[in-house]
Amino acid sequence: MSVPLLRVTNLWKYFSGTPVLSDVSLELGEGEILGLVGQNGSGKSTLIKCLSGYHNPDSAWRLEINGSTISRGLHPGEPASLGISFVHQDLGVIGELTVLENLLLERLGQERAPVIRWRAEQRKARELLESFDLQLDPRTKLGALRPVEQAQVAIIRAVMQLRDRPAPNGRGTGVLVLDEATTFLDRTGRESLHSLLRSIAATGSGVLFVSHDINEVLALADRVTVLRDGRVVDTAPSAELSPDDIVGLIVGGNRSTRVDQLADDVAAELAADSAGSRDAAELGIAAAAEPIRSFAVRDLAGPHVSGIGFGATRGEIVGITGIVGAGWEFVLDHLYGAQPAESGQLEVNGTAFPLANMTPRQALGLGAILVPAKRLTQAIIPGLSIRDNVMLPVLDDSFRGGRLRLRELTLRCARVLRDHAVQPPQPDRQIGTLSGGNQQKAVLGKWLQLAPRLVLLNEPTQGVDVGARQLIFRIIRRAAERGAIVLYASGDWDEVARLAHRVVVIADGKVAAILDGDDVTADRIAESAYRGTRRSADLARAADAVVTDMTN
Amino acid sequence: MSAKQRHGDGFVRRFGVVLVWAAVVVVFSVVKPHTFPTSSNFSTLFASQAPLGIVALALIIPLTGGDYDLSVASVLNLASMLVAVLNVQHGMPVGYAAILAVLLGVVVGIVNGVICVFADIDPFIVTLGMGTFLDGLTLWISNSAPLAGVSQSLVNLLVIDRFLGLSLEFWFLIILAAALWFFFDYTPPGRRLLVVGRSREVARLSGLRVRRIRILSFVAAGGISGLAGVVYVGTSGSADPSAGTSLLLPAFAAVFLGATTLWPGRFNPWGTLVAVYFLTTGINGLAQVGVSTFVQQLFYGGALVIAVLLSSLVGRPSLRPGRGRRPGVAATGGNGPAARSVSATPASGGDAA
Repeated sequence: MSVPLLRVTNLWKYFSGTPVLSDVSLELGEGEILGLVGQNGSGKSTLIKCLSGYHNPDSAWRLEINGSTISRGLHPGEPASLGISFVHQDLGVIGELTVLENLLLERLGQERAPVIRWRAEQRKARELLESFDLQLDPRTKLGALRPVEQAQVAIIRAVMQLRDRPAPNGRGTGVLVLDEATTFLDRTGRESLHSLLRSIAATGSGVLFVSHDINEVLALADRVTVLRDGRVVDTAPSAELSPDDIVGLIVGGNRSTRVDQLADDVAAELAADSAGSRDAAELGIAAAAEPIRSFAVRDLAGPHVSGIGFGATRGEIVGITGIVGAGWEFVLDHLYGAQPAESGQLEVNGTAFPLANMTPRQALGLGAILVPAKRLTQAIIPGLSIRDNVMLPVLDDSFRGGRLRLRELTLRCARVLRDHAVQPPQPDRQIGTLSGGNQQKAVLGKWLQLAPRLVLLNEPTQGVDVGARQLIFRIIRRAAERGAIVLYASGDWDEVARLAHRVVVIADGKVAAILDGDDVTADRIAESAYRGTRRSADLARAADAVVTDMTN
Repeated sequence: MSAKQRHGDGFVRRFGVVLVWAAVVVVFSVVKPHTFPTSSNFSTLFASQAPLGIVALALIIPLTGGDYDLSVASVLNLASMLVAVLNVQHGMPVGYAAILAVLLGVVVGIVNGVICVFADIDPFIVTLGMGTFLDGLTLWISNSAPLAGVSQSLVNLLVIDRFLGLSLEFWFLIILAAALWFFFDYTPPGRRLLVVGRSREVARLSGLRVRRIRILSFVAAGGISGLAGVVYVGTSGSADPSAGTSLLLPAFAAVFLGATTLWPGRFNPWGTLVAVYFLTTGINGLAQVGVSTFVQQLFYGGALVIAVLLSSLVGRPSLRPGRGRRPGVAATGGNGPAARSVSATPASGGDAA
């Protein structure tokens, strides 16, 4: 790698006097996939934003790209002409438009030709998609595609950008930056993206791959660069690193003890809370409700699931998982009434509640809470304060003498934030300014302050860094120890296996297996998830065969 | 853009409109020292604009809940004509007529709310249609002619009786603004309305009765607009079948300009009042300088566009565009119909690229 495709040296960036990037350097060769990992706040996003021209570096950095050298901040739009294109976490695609329209979005903004030749464009798009083995019709509405396919479209668009604006080297290759673009995909989806990214790299482009998922980075990247506290702590070939090595590098010695310390504090405080209910009463925090004695879901059916049934007992954490798109994603939404079910019952203490009529309000009345999967649109309002977000369900407790006691509300909120280790614990701060992990802890605090009996968690660790993830696990365990039933839906089998006492594996919308005891391992989950899928595929094929026979 | 920078110009952001208002007062006081800075000019100005202030306050309720109500000025218009017709032509005591006028507003609000919420139709369209429909009714019951001679007792109550040298209608406006401010900031329903306005989905999943809250916000807007109509007819003692509808644009201008001041990024009652009086002071001064009346349109229209422009600039640091925001201050929403979500996306893409 004598002349790398991309080389960054001596990159510094300060926010209000604090360095967030200190002397960062990295290199990316032609055809190489470089993983970039680090906790939230380690400087990954800032680094990416320096490359995209959003931030100006605070030093005379050196950016060598495709043979040109630059040592000033980039203008927005300049990265594209230098041959760097980006795919961000939100993908930047529009569900209302077709695949083709999405692919052309940025081009249409710049093109000078007054007329769009749709037929030709469509042919070109089809050829491009086929060249990467993607079976996508350019005329499909993007919103109708699976999340994986939407991500593929976003990636292909970035590749097109590299080709359309030939960088100085004139070969139509460049640097593709994936900024946590796979966060919202499940394992199978990610794997199918990996082959796409490898074939892109094979054409001579370099891929800078940013992700929270260490296993994913190790599986995909040729080398891995680890950032911690704004510094590059190591860069090494993936083959020489184990997941544990990377966790060690990401968290760092001191940081890890701090996180543990923080988690211990939380545990201690939570314990103190349950002991000293005087405090809780004083603050108007709902006393722990009578735990659920018996709980069962029967015959739940909806657009993506059918015949789902399982039980749970107090204090139990039940994992709900499967291959992405298998239907496990919808179970909790149906139980909470967030998305209407078609039929089925929720049985609580011997009373059956029809799920077709379930509403969030009724579910809350039963002592259930839901942490939804889409944090930014379903769980928080980024533009409002932490207090307005977190205290929403308990406003009435601070409404006395005809007015809201705002100061009391703020104090109660600060306490909830401390109890759930939200950093910084400032109720007046806009919740959108917190990191993903801290937002999620605040959301957990919002709901767990109600002392719910049934805790429904839909992918609560999505887009959350390693440290916050450990804290979230502790918070979840603590809720279960206090007598709640926790249903934990996630596509991350390692996490499910670590956390759950029992696991309901769903394949093709049906329960494929219920694992407990020693069977709760990532391998057994994988086996059940894939085997379940294959079995129902076999059944479907057999049924098709029967139908074919009959028609013949 | 660091947090520090934002705090640095916080004062200007919060009090910008107030400062501009003060500057306008100073300029006209210098230019017209004998007629402009007089107590009689200001007491007339403060009182005569009370109906505009009340209807603007009515508007911020559904806007906070994420819904436009374009029928408020037409409700005001019809209510004022209803009072005049009932009182003058049918001899109904003006108090009863006033109560009926407010009830009329409530009914309009219920119809608006139910159609928008249960049929899930864009309130923009529903209330635009409703407003036009009500304008027709107004012309019908008035035979398209102004009607004078409304009971002097109403005029006395609103205009003639004074407190601290200002007509009572001005104080009614202040009381209403205070009540709304209290409602928005110090009651759970007020806080919930704000959440409903920012994200229907978060509100629903938090167990809020989103539909009921939205309908009630239309009802409140309708009722308060009806009240504004009563004040309007009382201010002049007569009703004009078309005068009231011309308040729609000034009301919107005031509301959006008000959202850039005092509590930037939020529709707020005090900011709205500041904006109402800033706009009317400007027009009053220009009229005294001898500028033709068309300047009103220029002023209101220009102010509305500039207000929305300002609020999108001012609001940006605190409110990320395109994330579950409804009509919001920058008039782009996340959960709305397709057109809105499309318009929101380039903004986030712009951040990224």
